[in-house]
Amino acid sequence: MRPIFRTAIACACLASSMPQGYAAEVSLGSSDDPAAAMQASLHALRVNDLATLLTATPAEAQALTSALADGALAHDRFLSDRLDELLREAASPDATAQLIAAWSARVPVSGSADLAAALVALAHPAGAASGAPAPGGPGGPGGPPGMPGPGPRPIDWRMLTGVALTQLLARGLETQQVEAVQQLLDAAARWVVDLDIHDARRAKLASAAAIAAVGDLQVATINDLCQLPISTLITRGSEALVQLKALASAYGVDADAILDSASVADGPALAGHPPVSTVIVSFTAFNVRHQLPLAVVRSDAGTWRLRADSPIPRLLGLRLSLLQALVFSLGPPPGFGPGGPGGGGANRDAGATQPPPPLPRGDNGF
Amino acid sequence: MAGAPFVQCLLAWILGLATAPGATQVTLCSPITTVVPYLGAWDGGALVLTAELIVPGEAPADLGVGAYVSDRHGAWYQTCQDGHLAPGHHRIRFSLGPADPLVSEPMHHGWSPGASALMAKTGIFFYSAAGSRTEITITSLAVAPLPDVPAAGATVKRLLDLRLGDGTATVAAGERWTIQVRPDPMPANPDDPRQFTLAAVITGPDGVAMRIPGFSYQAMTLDDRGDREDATPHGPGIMQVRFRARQPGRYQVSLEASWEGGPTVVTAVPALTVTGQPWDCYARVDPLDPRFFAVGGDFWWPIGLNVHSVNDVRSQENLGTRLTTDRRAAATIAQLRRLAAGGGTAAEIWLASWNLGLEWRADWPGFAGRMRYSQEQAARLDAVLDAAWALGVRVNLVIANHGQISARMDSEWRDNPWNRATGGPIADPALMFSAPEALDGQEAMRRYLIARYADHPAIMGWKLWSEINLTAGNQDAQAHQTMKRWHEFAAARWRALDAYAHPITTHWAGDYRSSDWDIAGLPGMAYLCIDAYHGGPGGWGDGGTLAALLSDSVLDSRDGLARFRKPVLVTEYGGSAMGASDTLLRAEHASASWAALVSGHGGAPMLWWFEWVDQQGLYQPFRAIARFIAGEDLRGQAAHSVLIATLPDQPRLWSHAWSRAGRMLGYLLDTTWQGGGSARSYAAGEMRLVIGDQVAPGTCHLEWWDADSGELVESRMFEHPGGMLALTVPGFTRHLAFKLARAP
Repeated sequence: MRPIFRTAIACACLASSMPQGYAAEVSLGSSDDPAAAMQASLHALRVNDLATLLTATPAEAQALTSALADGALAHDRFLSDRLDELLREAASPDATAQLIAAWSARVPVSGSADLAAALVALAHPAGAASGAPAPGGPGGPGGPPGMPGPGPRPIDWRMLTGVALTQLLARGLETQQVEAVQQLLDAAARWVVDLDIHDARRAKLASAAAIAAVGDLQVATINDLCQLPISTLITRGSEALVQLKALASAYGVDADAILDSASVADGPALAGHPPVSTVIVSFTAFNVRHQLPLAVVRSDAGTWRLRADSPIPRLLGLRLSLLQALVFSLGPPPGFGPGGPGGGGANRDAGATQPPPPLPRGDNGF
Repeated sequence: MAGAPFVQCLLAWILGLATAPGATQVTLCSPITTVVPYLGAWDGGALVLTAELIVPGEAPADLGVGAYVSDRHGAWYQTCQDGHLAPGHHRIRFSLGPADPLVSEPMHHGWSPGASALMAKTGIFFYSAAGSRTEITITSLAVAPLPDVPAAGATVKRLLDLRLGDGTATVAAGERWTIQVRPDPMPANPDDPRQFTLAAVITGPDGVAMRIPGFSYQAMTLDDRGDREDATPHGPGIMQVRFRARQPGRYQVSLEASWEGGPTVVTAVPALTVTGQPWDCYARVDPLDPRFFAVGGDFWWPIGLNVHSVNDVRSQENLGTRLTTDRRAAATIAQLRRLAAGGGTAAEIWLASWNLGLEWRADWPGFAGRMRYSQEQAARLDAVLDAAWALGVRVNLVIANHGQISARMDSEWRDNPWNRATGGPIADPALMFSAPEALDGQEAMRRYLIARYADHPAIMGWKLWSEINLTAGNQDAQAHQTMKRWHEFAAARWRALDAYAHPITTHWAGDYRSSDWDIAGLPGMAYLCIDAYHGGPGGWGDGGTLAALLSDSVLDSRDGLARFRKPVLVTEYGGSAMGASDTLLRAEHASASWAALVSGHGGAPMLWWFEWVDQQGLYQPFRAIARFIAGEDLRGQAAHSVLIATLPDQPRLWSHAWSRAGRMLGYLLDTTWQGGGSARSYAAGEMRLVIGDQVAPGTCHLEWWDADSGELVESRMFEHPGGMLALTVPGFTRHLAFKLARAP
């Protein structure tokens, strides 16, 4: 089965056009007031205007173009191979059917409960909160007990959400941010547990949206994407963002409604030299009003950026970027088989010797 | 009163005691001590020993009697009755509990509740300075459990005998500083965190508090006897905390001690002053290019050997090597010394039951059973790590080997102290990954290892398992999930306890295709260890060479491990798991490090057949690659392995390079030779290496290196006009390396 499910991930990755590490530096505009800048950014998301969200100055745009050309997407063979693969698959005639089949294979029948349990486990790592949804079905992730051999890898919701959280954590703000995210995850868990994520109609709508989002990028390979001027990529990404919202909408998440409900206020400054500004974003999601504090810092160019400099992810050994987490979580089946004791491993066929990556620029990188 | 002994003897005779049924006649062998063991049933622990005996009139006047207890391995503690035994009938009684004043002989280590709990033998003994063969009648010899009387002061829990480092609270950054205390009361098992824990809370000059666990410590002297290594304890058993500061400044220190069922006792300790320059010599995964290791920010590419245990029976059987005499730490240190002299900077060492393991069934020499850690083994590991550090070698420390919990593959389960068959709580070895008792035991061991060794810069990393896929946990998909959860939990606990943040790994047998991606992808698995065996049944790539296997281990587009962006380290290779011909092994040994280097491995592959290397002095390959890589740095986001084409095409040559902007390290290998065949000599100018067809112009510096000697054989500068860059290859046989760099 082709891993076309990663198409959905490609939409997220490609639409934002972010090289590795850039996610923590989303520009929030150049207003003197960070809250106003954040509000403007939310509005830009609301109207699908990534150009306002992602760039501020020509110099920064140029830097982004270079970063894209030289960044992880361009040089990480694993990532680029996988993303190329899904670009090809997204362009195939049966892409929608493949995507739906892959989704069914990677999300167990108890998928809603699994996701809910993962959200709760992430929110309350020391033990499930009272009243939290029950964990997944028999055997948990990986299928029923005794299922031999490799199969499609279940989505690792916990890793995905955990790594996503690390993209926001800021030094000195961790307690408030974790509490806010816990509330969000609890609300999401309560909401998702009643959702039929295998509903055929939803799956069809979501698949179409995901494939359309990839198509909006108008690239055949990741290398093509990395060679695009950032301005072009952002324009196309804005179109893809519409499709991503449609994807979320297929499962009942109205992204625009959440954005419409958002308001931003200045938060207390964090100690530092100079003091670090904070903003508090209030929004309604999953039927609950949330308040998420974020640290922001102003660049030399006068734009505000999210600041995610908490040492906690590093202390916990979380080194994955969001992009890596997405791809790892949805990668090929694990190389684990029924070899058993003494089997000596070798549960995959002898690998064909592969030449190293093709010459990137005809100079072997020298 | 001179006639009293005679009267007593007479009375005894009259009463018939001297010939009572069941009486034992013991012939003195003084001046040598006469030992009378108690042969009845006794479960060990604290006891009262009673005896009735009749001393004849001809017994030496200085005849004395005492009682002893000893552990299974001969550690001996005794107490003597005051005065001499006069002729006549005696009833004697000895209390042999943890609070009694027993002394060790002939060694001089302390009697304690911990020692008492290990006692397995008891009896009485007679002594006299006079030569005598007098027969003494023992009419009864009995033991009974010692009544459980709380020791005086037991309600007051405290730490006594505080000792700081070498007596001061000052130490240089990078040097070990110790705190020693004696808990009062001393727990029966100081290794069991349920009974007692000690931790130092150390707050550095940056205000960050670290919690450093303490551990039980018995000072030992290791003596290399030539045919074995003796470990002799001395001094009392105590608790110790080890700390190695990295930043100079003033550190606030307090001790937290917790006894079972009691409150935590906090004891202030004088502040520690750390002098000197900032220091950090721990090996870690490089944060900027996590495919490699770094030490203090500098690139580090480990080069070494799998010195897993003192000797290797499989090597003897398959390669004809001699079994190294089991001088334990002394033998390992000697091997490390030769490895370091040969250019090695890393070695893998196993905490196996037959090597340096700390926990195994109590009736095996040197061990004390489940959740009691062998102090003599621990002292040996101390010695090995100290020696390794002095030699510039870091140790990939294997916490557990697969046989320990495998019922079928190299099984040692029958002797595992956790096995129900040996008195443990676990019936099925697969449950060692999930049973609460087993997990508690692993946590205790983890805590001990970290407390005792984590500060040591010779620790390269904690390798949780060797060949995890050969354990009983590798059974089905559900067991797979259990094993994944186990790794996730274990890694988290190692990270939480280890204030020095040594990287953590696990290891799969076979080759890279055996690796479990669910575990390999865990954030807690900082680097990945694999085998690179080939040629055996079901082995990798029928007919493929080791170079291709090493390259595929990371770069195979389907199964290669480069996708995880973690250091990949081959910790076993060398033909198949059953060895190979001497010719093939020599070729693989000479070329493996080079192939791994240009493929992007995190370090040089570690050959399994260490006795084959050691007994023939085959250390030159380490020296060669060490010379070549000195001063090099493979890191860089864009750095990657490239295929180097030859003109004209040379099908039997394997040529790859590790390429960064402006610097390339390359390697050409005669694959026929590496596969065990004859090497061909290539003439100078017979071929060219195509670096690229669109190489930017500029001045370049080219070096050709002899891959056998690790010596520079040719060096020149040249001006490249731009476009195709093809290097004319000098003559060589077997293999050749090069460095190409743009002039600054």
